[in-house]
Amino acid sequence: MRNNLRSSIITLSGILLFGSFAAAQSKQQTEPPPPLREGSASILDKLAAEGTGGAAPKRDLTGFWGSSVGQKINPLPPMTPWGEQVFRTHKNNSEYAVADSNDPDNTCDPLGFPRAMVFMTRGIAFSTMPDRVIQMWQYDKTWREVFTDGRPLPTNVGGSEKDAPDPRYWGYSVGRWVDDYAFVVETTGSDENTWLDNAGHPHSVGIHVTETYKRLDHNDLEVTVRIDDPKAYTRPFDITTAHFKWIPKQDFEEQICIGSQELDYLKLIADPGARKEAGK
Amino acid sequence: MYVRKAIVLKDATVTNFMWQNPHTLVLFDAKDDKGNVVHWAGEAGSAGSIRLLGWNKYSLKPGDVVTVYIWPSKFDSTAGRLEKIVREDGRTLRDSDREDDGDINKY
Repeated sequence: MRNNLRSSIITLSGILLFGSFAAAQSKQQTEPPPPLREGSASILDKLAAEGTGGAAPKRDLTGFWGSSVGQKINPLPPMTPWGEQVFRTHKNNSEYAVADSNDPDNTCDPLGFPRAMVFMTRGIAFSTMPDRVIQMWQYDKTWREVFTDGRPLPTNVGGSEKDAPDPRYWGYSVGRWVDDYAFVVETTGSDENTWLDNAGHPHSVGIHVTETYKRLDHNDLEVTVRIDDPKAYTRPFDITTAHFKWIPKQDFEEQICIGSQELDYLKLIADPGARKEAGK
Repeated sequence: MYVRKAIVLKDATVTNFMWQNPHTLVLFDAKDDKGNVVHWAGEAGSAGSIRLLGWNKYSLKPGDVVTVYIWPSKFDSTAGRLEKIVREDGRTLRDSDREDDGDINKY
């Protein structure tokens, strides 16, 4: 049903969108292209040239950090029967044509947590407030709150009790400094509509994620992401250890998943007939 | 989704350049082995990510004749992920889905 709805939206949106392309093109033809550069290294390699930047400040992650678009994912342990069952319903972009995939990212649904710590990690940022740390993502300009005021994590997210909190795409997070340079964040209650990774591995709302952020020096930040989800996996595991570098400019290019443009993309990448029309 | 081995399409004509998020699209026409015009769609990274590689919304325009290096889709013979585009003036537009992620000064 979701695919049918998406197809309908794509069809309607496509009719409206193609008219705007011509107007955009006429503007594009008015200015010459800028000089182009060649490069040969990853963004992390280039940021590494900045060095360590000296000693890390104590108990502070504040700033803008850069990394790879996607993180290397460790081998996952076997899934439980429940995990396998959910996994079979997820159609990723590697094994399915984009028009047939149901990756939530294809419709600009939020990546949610913890997927946002393994994918679209090119830019993250932190801001520190008296009772929380705000973690922000370049992708979609979104954020989550990590409370540092000592509150406990909820234990009944998604439960039937009257006071049970609803699952959230970004879960519920609390954090604490375990020493001057290590900040540990614990999260639970992530909405089961979100995927764990691009392959479509699932998680349950009861997932417990432990992130350990280690500020190695001023310019280097390492985070290990540990997953404990006995409903979906047969044992806990570290899904990744990601490395982030301090960005000298302390700014990001805007990178947003724009729904109307994604619909446009889905139609054109999947439909040769639409390409012919859009190219007229 | 894509076979990570580029095929080369010479004398391709850009028909639409869609500078957008989360995927920039280049629509172009290229002739097949029998001389028939084929309507291709090549995707690149988001505008924000390929901007780090020197692209901007004026990098291509309809009518440009280019050489396209493209990773073909496993599912559609005329769609793919751009590896790079070489313009008539010899300058190259590389995609972000490669080892090079761009210029840190443009973050």
